[in-house]
Amino acid sequence: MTPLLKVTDLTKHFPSKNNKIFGKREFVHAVDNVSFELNVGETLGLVGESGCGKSTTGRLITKLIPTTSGSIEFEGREISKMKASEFKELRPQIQMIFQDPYASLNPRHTVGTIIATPLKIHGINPGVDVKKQVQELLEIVGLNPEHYNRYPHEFSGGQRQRIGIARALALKPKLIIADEPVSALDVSIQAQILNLLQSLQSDFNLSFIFIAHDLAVVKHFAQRVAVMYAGNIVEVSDHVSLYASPKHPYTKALMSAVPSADPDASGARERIRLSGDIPNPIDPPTGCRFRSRCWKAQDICATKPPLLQIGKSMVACHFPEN
Amino acid sequence: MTAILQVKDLKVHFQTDDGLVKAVDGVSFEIEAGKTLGIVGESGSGKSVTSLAIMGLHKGSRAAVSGEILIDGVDVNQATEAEVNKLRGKSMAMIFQDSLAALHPFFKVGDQIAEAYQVHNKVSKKAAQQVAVEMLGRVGIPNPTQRMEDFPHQFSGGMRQRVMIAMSLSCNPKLLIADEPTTALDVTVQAQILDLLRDLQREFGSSILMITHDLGVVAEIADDVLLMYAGKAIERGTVRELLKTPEHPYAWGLLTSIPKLTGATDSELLAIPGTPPSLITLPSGCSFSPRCSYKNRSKVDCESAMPELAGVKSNSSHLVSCHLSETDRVAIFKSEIAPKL
Ligand SMILES: Nc1ncnc2c1ncn2[C@@H]1O[C@H](COP(=O)(O)OP(=O)(O)OP(=O)(O)O)[C@@H](O)[C@H]1O
Ligand SMILES: Nc1ncnc2c1ncn2[C@@H]1O[C@H](COP(=O)(O)OP(=O)(O)OP(=O)(O)O)[C@@H](O)[C@H]1O
Ligand code: SF4
Ligand SMILES: [Mg+2]
Ligand SMILES: [Mg+2]
Repeated sequence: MTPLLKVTDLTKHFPSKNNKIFGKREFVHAVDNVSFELNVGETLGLVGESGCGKSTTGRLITKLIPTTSGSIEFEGREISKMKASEFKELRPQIQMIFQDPYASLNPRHTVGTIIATPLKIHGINPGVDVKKQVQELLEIVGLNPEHYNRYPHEFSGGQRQRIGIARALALKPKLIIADEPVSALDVSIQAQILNLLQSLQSDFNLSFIFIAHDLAVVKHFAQRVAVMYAGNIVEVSDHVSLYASPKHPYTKALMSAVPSADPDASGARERIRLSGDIPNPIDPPTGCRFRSRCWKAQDICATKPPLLQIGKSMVACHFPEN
Repeated sequence: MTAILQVKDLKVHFQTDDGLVKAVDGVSFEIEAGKTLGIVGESGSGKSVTSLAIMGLHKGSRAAVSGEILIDGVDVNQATEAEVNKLRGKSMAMIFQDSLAALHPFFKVGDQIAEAYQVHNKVSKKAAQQVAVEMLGRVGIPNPTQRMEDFPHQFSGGMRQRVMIAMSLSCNPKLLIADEPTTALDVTVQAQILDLLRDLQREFGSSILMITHDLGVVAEIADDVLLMYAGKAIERGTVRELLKTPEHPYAWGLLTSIPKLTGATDSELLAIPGTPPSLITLPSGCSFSPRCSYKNRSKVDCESAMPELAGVKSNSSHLVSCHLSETDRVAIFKSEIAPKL
């Protein structure tokens, strides 16, 4: 079976300003040689340190920014080099829920207009009353019909996030890149939205790339999880093994830092505090990029770590946990 | 203890084409010096609007604000814009929920931090730039000297949030209002930021008003918690009281909605049924009643009147707004809620 999405050696280097001394052009290595597959109806969680390249990966797949190198195959077709005119027919099928809900909503348009626009452009369900469709979408994400005529600044943070979700759902896409879709919601509405996305997923065989910092949410929603660090994927695992037995030291540190809502549990846990230099994305360390902060690092870590299969996990590390 | 901030019967109402939105409707609380108050609650319940009122940021908008907000002996609601401006920076500073909207897109990140610092401190541009580099380093931005030169769109979501944090911490404010400061951060950086906030508190005795949906963050950093629903405070108590023995049915719903990190994954999460109420036409009686699964156990008609925010036990600091009797609440929590946690 062809996967819905196959990403191979995806790389994005953003030009940075010129190096003052040598006048040499420098680049932010935002995403480097990232590869993964996503099957129809599957959710892949994407987690990792702030600034490690998660949103950039999402923006590359949705073709909001051009790739530096590597390939992106959607239903077996290479899309990374497709011209805009050619990609137009595929665009509705790949939607993104943006991390910054406010910045991604046009401040001069009412919410009604914002959600109706993609419906009109792509002519989904012509003939059906657009206003009615929009109000249904608003209701699905837990907003009131009275919100239809309001402008983005008149909403709370979590309400804006739900507008972004409604907009992404409007076109009935096959793949949704959800970038922190529930981070601004209280846990009860979060539960409602996750249940909703899950039922849409089983009804329409939707696939998700689900970017989030809340590891319990990712565990609940994703079947497989990829952990990124400084532009690289360091571990991919099924959702249960990743939490039960993290293999990459960075994953282990990440798991140890999850705060618990039980005031009695907080003190009991041993949190791994990362010290050492945070890698500079303009000049990332050679070999394993985590080595400047890793408590297991040896000289050999300056060389490219091998990709190992341990149980159900793939891990890129010279000294994985067992 | 002296309260650094006192909020009394705060109301913030917005006139819209569809009617009057009662975003905040009679909220009172105080924060003592050196303490952290966590505000949690439903999305859209008035948390950010409350914090903007404290910062005096509804002035000049179409919001109708009433009640008292006392900080450093000044009532923000009565004060002139110039007087409030004097409080901002040193007396109070805020980390906004929308970091991208709060940063100016056309100015370099470093200059924005340095200028914010210079507004409240008489120092040279160079010294202010130095402070900016140091603060960026403290919030964990790699290579801060070089990244000073970047524009906001060149930063990731969490890096922008940290720029906001750096900016508001640079003046060591007496009261820091942090509106969802760590939502865009992974848990290791989040832990580092929480440490930084605790340092600020230890060093300068600052108070923190922490708005967050993350009950784990609340457990880590808050002393007291205020729970909001539809513009009102519906429960208040110490962090232990709210997380270990919550009394309001909405609080129970929140705690049981959290997905779990350990153990098997549930096929579906428990969620509170129904949607948040319209703030224009609030339900009659208890504003949570349309969604409450326990109202039929109450001896009082829950739809008759909004219950008062009253002490759980006589003389207690734990307050709740619910018509259920205390015996019933304790019994329901013990038999039906605690086993699900
Ligand atoms: N337009 C751009 N120009 C230059 N650098 C950029 C640009 N966009 C992103 N970057 C850099 O690329 C790196 C990865 O950013 P990205 O937004 O993908 O991170 P992220 O994993 O989504 O982080 P977060 O969890 O904080 O949102 C960061 O170092 C960021 O500063
Ligand atoms: N300018 C405005 N005009 C009309 N209504 C507004 C305006 N600003 C906010 N509101 C409404 O006031 C209510 C409270 O908003 P607020 O931003 O305080 O919510 P919040 O508790 O911070 O929610 P979240 O957790 O989602 O950020 C919301 O229902 C919102 O729609
Ligand atoms: S007052 Fe009644 S409706 Fe409101 S929370 Fe209590 S039991 Fe539920
Ligand atoms: Mg991001
Ligand atoms: Mg808010």
